[in-house]
This record gives sequence, C-alpha cells and structure tokens, in this order.
Amino acid sequence: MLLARRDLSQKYRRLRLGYLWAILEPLGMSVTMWFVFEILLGGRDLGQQPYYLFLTVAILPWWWFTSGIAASTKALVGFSRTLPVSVLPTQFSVVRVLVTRTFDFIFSLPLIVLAMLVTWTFPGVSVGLFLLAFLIQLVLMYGLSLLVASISALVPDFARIVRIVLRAAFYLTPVLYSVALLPEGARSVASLNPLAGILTLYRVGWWPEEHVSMTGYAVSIGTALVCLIAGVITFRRLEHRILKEA
Amino acid sequence: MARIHIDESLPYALEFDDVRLTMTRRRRRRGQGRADRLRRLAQDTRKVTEEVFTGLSLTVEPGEAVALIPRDRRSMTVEFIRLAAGTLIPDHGHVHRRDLVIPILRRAGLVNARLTVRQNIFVVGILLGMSPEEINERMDWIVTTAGLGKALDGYARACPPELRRRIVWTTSMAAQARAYATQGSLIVGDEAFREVGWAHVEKLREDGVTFLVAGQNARVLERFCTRALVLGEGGIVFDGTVSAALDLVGRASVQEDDDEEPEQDVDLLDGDRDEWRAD
Repeated sequence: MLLARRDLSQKYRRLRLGYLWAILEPLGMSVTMWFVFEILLGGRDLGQQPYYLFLTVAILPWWWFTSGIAASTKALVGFSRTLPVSVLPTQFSVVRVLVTRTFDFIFSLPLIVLAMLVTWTFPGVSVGLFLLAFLIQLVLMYGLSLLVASISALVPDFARIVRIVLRAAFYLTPVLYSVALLPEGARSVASLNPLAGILTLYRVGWWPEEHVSMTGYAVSIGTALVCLIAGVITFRRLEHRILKEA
Repeated sequence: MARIHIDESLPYALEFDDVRLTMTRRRRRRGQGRADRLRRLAQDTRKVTEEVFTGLSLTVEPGEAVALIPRDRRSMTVEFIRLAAGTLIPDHGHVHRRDLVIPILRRAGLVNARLTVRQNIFVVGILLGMSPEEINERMDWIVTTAGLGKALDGYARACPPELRRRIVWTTSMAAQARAYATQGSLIVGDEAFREVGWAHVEKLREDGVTFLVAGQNARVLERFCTRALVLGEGGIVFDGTVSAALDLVGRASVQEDDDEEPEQDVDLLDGDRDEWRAD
C-alpha cells in the first residue's frame, strides 16, 4: 500500500495540475466520444439517454481496466535491482500496479457526479450494484494482471499482443453502445464478453432497462473467477523463472 | 503463495536440501565468420544454460559467519546468496530457513533521487520486509548511525553516493534480522563509517546472528568469518576454516567487489530500464 501511495505521488508530483489529471484524462475521452457519436453522428440510438452520462458511467471502469492491464505488462519487467533484494512476495509488484490504478479510478469517480449534475439524471436504489460491479472487476483484473504480468516478463512480445487485444476489446465491449439495444442474435454474442455484464451492473442503477438477462452477470463472475485461478496458478508456475530473469 | 518459507522449528539457521539450479545467461557471440561478426555488431547475444548447482546440500548453524568463496565463477556466490535469501527459487530441492535472511545493501543506485531521504528509507525498509511502524521506531537509530542529520527530509538527489550507500546499509541493518547475507557489502563507506560498521557487525555476530559473506577481500574474511565454503563444480568443493580455504584458491584471487556501478539515476519505483544481465 505504501509503495502504491509513493507511486501515485510520484506520478502526479511533477505535473502542475497534479491529481486533476486522474480526472482530466477520462474526461477528455468521454467528451470527445460524446461529441463524435452524439453531435457529429447525431441521434443514432447507440445507448440510453442522456448519452453523455451513459458514456461516462462505462468509460471510467473501462479506462481503469485497460490502463491497469496495460500497466501490468510492465509490472515485473525492469526491476533487475529490486527483485533480487526484496523479501516481499513477488506478486506485490503486480498488486502495487493494480492498487495504483484502482485509486486513479476512485479519484475519477466525481466525473460521474458531474455528468449527473450536467444532465440532471439521478439513479435509483439499484445503484448499489455499482459496488458489486467494482468488486467483480477487481477480481477479474487481479487474475488477469497476474497472468499478463508473469507471461510478459518472460516473453516481451506478449505486451504488444495485449495492447492490440485491448484496443480491439474497446469496440467489442459495450462502452459506446448498449447491449440492451442490440438485435436479439447479437445480444447473446455480446453477453459472452465478461466486461459486458460488469458494465451493465455499473449502469443498471440509472437505466433499469439495461438489465437483459442473468447470463451476462454469470459470465462476468465466472470469467473473473477463472481468471483469478488461472492467474494465480500461472504466476506460481512461472515465478522461479521470473526471478531468474531479474 | 509467499515464496519465502520460514520454519521456526528448524535446528539450523539455513538448510540446503539437494538444491539444483540452472541459469540462462546471455553471452556475446564469438567466432570470426562473417555472420558472427555481423551479429556481434548488432549486439546479438546467444543464450546459454548453465548448471550452477547440481545437488547442493548443506547446513549452516545459527551464529556462524560463513565466507563464500567462488573457485571459478564469481556469480555462483550471488546465486547462493539469492537462494538463501529466497529471491531465487531452486529448480529442484528446497532451502529451509529458520528466520528471514536479509540481504545487506550498499548500492547507492537503490536510492531514488526524486524522493526524500526519509521516503527512501521507507521504500528500502519495506522491500526488506519491515512494517512502516518498525521503520518509524528505528528511524532515530538510522539517522544517528548513518549520520544523516538534516539531510533526512531533503531530497536524496542532494546526497553524495557515499551517503546513499550509508543510507541503504543502515536501513538493512535496521531490519534487525537473525540472519544476514551480503555480496560485497559487509562494511561500506569511508574510514570513519567502516569503524562504526565493524563495531556493529561484530556485535551482531557475538549476539548469534548468522552471516553469509561473499565478495570481500581475504583480510575481511579472515577477520570476520568462522567458516568458509569454496563453491565450484556445481556444489561445494571445500568446507572448512577460512585460512585453509584461502590457501586453496589463492589469497590474491579473493577480491572485494568493485564498489559501485556507474553513477546513474535508478528508479526503484518505475524500475530501471537498463539491459543488465549477469554474465
């Protein structure tokens, strides 16, 4: 935890706007997307209304996910000085990266409040599911981070693959659009994406009609657990090789 | 899932049980053919897998100060120490330890210039397994011993390498381990600080702290160690008194490690990006 706090203060110390950057980055992204899809392409039924809020609620978790996984590719690389001397468990390096990104995400949450005020739309009670979505995503990301970090420590090419996959995943994941508004056939395919269920849980507090079926949630929770187990096992298996590389 | 297992009921400070280890190293391409020359020019390296230990078994009693002397390859002692401290996991066999084995640090490069000295002490201390409370408790001791004074809350960039070395060394001593391992850093610093260091480690040895010492010159080993291991041929070629071991390998060949890598800003937090490889 302490190391993660140091990471955060390091990350923002030299910037004039400091912690505001945790907000400004996703804010820029969501405003751009809203401008392109709502204003320029105008009135297409991509998602629920108000579209700006709809976008913001999903783009923050997405940003957390993609930046966290991308950062984990470097979590165990380039620590040739610390790994040989550290008596901390090796996976702490991965946890540290994840904790840093998670705090970034939490700091950026006021953006949702801002979007709510701008659009004057407020959620119902089921907004409590936001917390559940957060927890599922955390488990999913921990598993994936371990997996990604350990493999990319040994195979540098893997980091590039991850980057490409993440970029593709942005379009495959209902950030810009809503699963509920897809045609019937496409909907079942889209629910197979573990992030689809998570994003629905984030959004359902504002738009109860986002809830389509339980399958999406089951897929999300199932994938999160599978990733956790796979991550832990892979990490254990590769740990001695990672240490040798250090 | 922790990689370091502590077994408090162990009668020894340290026990290596049929440890085997291979390491992959990168070697520069040799050879005079055109292809080899081109590859050398392109800084291409080839990977070689070396057997470092083939069935190493030994025990170290609590309170022993063991000198590790490499017979042919210096890096063997590094790997021995990393195995003991648990920062390397053997391919086969186990290393059992009764207490944490803490590496003694001395590299000025471990100090991050962009943090304050106090923050650096925290980062290094945490890497060595101390809790923030413990570090706070021992902060006064660290400050007095390393002679930090007002530098404590200044940025580490203002500290000369000499002071940085003292900071990391003192912080590892503050870990108050029951076992220490060191590659070339038993004693650091200038004459005055070496006096302090000697007094400290000799006191520790009398109190029954176990030491694994490598990368020191013959004089230091003879003064400090009670037992010597000569490493070679995938295991131990000699186990006995320090003077006998030194006679075996030749006193002159036992040298103190060169003290420091070239000065550069290394970032413990961001990780260093250099392409360092054991060779």
